[in-house]
Amino acid sequence: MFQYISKRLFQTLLVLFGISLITFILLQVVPGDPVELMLEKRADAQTIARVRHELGLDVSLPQQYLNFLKGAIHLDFGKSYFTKEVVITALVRCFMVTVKLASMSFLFAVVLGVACGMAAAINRGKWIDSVLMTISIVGVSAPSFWIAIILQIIFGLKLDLLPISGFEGPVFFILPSIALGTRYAGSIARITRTSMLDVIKQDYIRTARAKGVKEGLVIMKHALKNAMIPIITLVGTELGNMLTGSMLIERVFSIPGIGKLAVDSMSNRDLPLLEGTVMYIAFVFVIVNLLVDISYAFIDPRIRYGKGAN
Amino acid sequence: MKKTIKKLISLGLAVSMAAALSACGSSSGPSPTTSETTAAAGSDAAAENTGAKILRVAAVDPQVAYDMQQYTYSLIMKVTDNVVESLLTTQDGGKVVPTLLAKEPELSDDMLTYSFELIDGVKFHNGETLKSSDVKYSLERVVKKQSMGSLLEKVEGYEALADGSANELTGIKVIDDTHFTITLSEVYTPFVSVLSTPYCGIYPAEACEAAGDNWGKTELIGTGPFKFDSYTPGVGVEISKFDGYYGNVPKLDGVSYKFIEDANTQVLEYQKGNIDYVDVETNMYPVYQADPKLKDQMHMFQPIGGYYMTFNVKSVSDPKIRQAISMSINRQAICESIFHGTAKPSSSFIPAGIIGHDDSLEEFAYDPEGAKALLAEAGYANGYDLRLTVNTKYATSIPIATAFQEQAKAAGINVTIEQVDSAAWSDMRKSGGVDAGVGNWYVDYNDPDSMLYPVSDSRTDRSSSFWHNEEFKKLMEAGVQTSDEAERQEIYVKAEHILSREDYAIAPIYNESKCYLLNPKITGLVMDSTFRNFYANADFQQ
Amino acid sequence: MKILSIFTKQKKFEEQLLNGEMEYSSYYKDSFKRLKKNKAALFCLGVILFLVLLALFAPVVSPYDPTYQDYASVLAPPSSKHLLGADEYGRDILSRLIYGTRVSLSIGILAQILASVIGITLGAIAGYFGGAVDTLISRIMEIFAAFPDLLFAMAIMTFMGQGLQNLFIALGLLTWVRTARLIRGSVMQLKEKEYVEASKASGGTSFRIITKHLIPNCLSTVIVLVTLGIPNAIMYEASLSFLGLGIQPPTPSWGNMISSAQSFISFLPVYSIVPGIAIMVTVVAFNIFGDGLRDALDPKLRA
Repeated sequence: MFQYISKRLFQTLLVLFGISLITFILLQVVPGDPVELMLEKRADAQTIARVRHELGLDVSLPQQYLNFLKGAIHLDFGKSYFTKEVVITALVRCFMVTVKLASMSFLFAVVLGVACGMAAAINRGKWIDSVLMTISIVGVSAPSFWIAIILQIIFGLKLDLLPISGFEGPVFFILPSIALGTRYAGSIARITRTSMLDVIKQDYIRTARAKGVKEGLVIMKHALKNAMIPIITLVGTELGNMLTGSMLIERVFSIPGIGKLAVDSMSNRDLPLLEGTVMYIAFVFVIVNLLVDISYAFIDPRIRYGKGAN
Repeated sequence: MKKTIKKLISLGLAVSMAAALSACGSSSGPSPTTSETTAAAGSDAAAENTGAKILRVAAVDPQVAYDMQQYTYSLIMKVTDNVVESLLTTQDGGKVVPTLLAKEPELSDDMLTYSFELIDGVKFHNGETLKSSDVKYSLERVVKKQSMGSLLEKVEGYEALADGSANELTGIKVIDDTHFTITLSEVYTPFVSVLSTPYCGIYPAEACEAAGDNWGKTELIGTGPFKFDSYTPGVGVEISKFDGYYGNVPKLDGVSYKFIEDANTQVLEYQKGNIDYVDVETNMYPVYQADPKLKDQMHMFQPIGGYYMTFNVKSVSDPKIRQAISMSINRQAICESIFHGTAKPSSSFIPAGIIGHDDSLEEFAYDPEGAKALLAEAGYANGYDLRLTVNTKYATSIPIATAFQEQAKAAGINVTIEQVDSAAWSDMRKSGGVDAGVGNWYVDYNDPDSMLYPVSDSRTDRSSSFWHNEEFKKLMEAGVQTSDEAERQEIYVKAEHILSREDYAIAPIYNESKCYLLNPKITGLVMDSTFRNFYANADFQQ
Repeated sequence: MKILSIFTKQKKFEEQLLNGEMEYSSYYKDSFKRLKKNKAALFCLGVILFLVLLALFAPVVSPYDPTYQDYASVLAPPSSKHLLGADEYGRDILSRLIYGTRVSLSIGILAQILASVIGITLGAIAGYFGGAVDTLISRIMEIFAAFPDLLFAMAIMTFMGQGLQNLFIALGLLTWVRTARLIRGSVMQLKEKEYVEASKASGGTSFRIITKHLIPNCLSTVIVLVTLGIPNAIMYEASLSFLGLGIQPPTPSWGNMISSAQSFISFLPVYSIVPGIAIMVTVVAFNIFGDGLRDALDPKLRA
């Protein structure tokens, strides 16, 4: 297992390296020059040359990439071309916001999703089941930014119950969390229902029932515990997704998180900031995947990772 | 091994739960100036509960320093206009009045040297007194920062400073703390207007130099009625009244700029009463007109400038084709239907309100049949394909392009719209990749020279236009060396004719009105044609 | 989310494929029988067919040309003239909605086809040859998977320019990894089978073995993946349009309709709600049908 993890961590480094290279290449091929953008209105060739020099853009491309790598090894991604903010500082600042949104949406999605999935499984085949499953598939199918806009109008403006935008306190995160969490809640509900049903069918539950243990208790005690396996893996990945920020939700609700940072650095062609953001997102993704894979092995002893396994 | 993993997983869960709880429990972040629980409907929730008079303005994070010498976005000016002052100010109507000067600058007989006298004892926000050397420093900084440096290209010594062979602008001579002169290398009539632009704002030399990269971020000092308190990325900017202001101290206690990225969200926040001032897109006009509450809260102003179509004369080389394109724009429909009567069709590039505007010009007619005939003459009897590039940063250029695309069908012009973001747009313009584009331009100072800047001979190679016209160039040169207004009028009318009616180097589309919503409780805040954001006279009506 | 639920499905598929090579004719016949019993899936198939017909016959059923600008009807509310009202250019919303079906469906389908082509090719190569080839392709797959989705699509769209073809290329490049992973896994297991060994022994080329034996074995899986991938592509299109990186005007798509309707949501709610519902209905239909298809192709997975 230890060997497996260290091998995976080494692969992670390779992936991060590959991603930084792709990001660098993408920014070179995408039309648009940060310096031109910065000096849009009146600048002349001379100024542009000077600013390029200041930003270290006047050396050859491989050299630029090497310079970037040198810093990146020490987690120093440099400064944003535009804001001049140190990239790591910007990442931490946005992460602090994203983590709040992520944890609230996560909580919303898990609580609602597991509850609905359980209710549906217990009442399998009854109308409650159909209603809940219909709602959950609709939840999975509605574009989150569209839900966001509608929530803003209804709860923010018309009913005047909740803030429309901002991130000053927990109450500000309610609408964004619902908008972001709905899709996840829908898929958690569906997975919960499926895995609960799988477990309910199994022998030991029948045994427990036969022993006269009350239905509700059986489900709570045995079924949910065992059904948690796929739920946890799903939930793990989703937490990863949320931690990488939502570009659309953050935009609609004016929340300056990782998603906004990513979009802004892309549209500004702000290489250091974009590299930092992309590496962060990729890192979270890879680590979450690793944890999920490890948890497979832990949950299901039949899965073994060792030599030859991929 | 198994146990460790179990622990790890439960630890992970615990951490995420803790994060969730802390997000729910703590109310971190700056507490809003006004209570967010204000339940009052509509926009009458002013800052009454705190006692402080804070104007709340919807803004967008510029993501760059609030330094208008470096970054020329209008969102920067929204803040800096209230913090930093220039030597003079252009008023609505174009009159230039002294701000930091004791009297109007005096011009020498050879029309090359201006003498200035500063008001005595003007204080910067840091307590320093404004001196002639600060003026010299600031203007030199404009040249060194160079995004607007060419504004001062007529000042003696500009070349040497700009190319780095000198480190001062020799044309500016400090006489004493309140007196200085500026000498030009050639006659340039609009020079005083140039000094009134926000880009020529005056900074305190020492503080600015010491702040380095932090200037405009953690620190910004000027002589204006408000002092810069903070800029928090992603959150907003706070400025508060400067009690030591040499003029009338503002009635507001401060202005709070709130960063709201999405334009629709900005308006929703206004409707909810959390914002007092918000800019709105003109194509939204009917939405607010239909709302009885918002109807009277919407105000309009006409900035000097407008939207126009640009042509790359290399790829759209025949003036007849350009004329045909111009004739297939239904300006009337765009103004009346898409912009609901808030915009006026342009009859010229130089808009009303500045020298060179010709009232006698007829509107450009929508004449698809005529356009067809012209295209046939130019050899495109079977239709013409046009690629029209728009910059998505300017939201209104998309409706213009979309409307034109449909209108041009009648003339047999097949338009493909290419939407690009700002970075790609500036890159394509530089490399000549734009065949036709939707552009907008507003004067930096009230002079035809500023209006015609984007089509001037030195610029067209950098804006994917490549249009050069000897006569036009000569007229532009003559224009800035002439001081007589009537003569200048004549010169620029001629230039205009060449530009938009002879060579069709561009096709003016419309002059717009900009709209904003303003809390009716606020008085003394009016946006006018100067497009300057002065909040010094604003107040809350009790 | 989606990706993971598909991932778990994949695992089960791999197991299923492991359990033996099926007799295709009867296998598909049985599957079809099972599918016929699933009322919800059949209903959704009906919805999908309806949408396809709507897309094909858009010019016939639309009351107006979707790009025709009727300046007298700018932002007109629903009426007998414009059943769902008119947009900010006076264009008929119903007609744009109908034409939008074309865009959404074709993006969904073409992006998935592209993703499948790339995914099957790379997945099969990696799985069949193993070793260094596999390692290389696997690392590429990991990089693509870890790259932030929307950001990647943004970069591709900015690089290639906006437009329908570029959009499905971008979305195809975004989603091929799933298919590739699955195919790679299946091929790795299948190539140990006797009949593959036999084919090798009798001198079959790698290309022949892959195309004749291995890929057909994964076909049912690919069909399900494509069906479940279409709604994802439709959602991506909507998201990209919302970020201003969709299809260029005047082509209507549901995504760009929602995006431009956002400003007018309180003034003309129908403008925003109708394309949103269209997306939801389509996505729901593909999801339920895809689930049904999966259950039918793999009876062991029915829950």
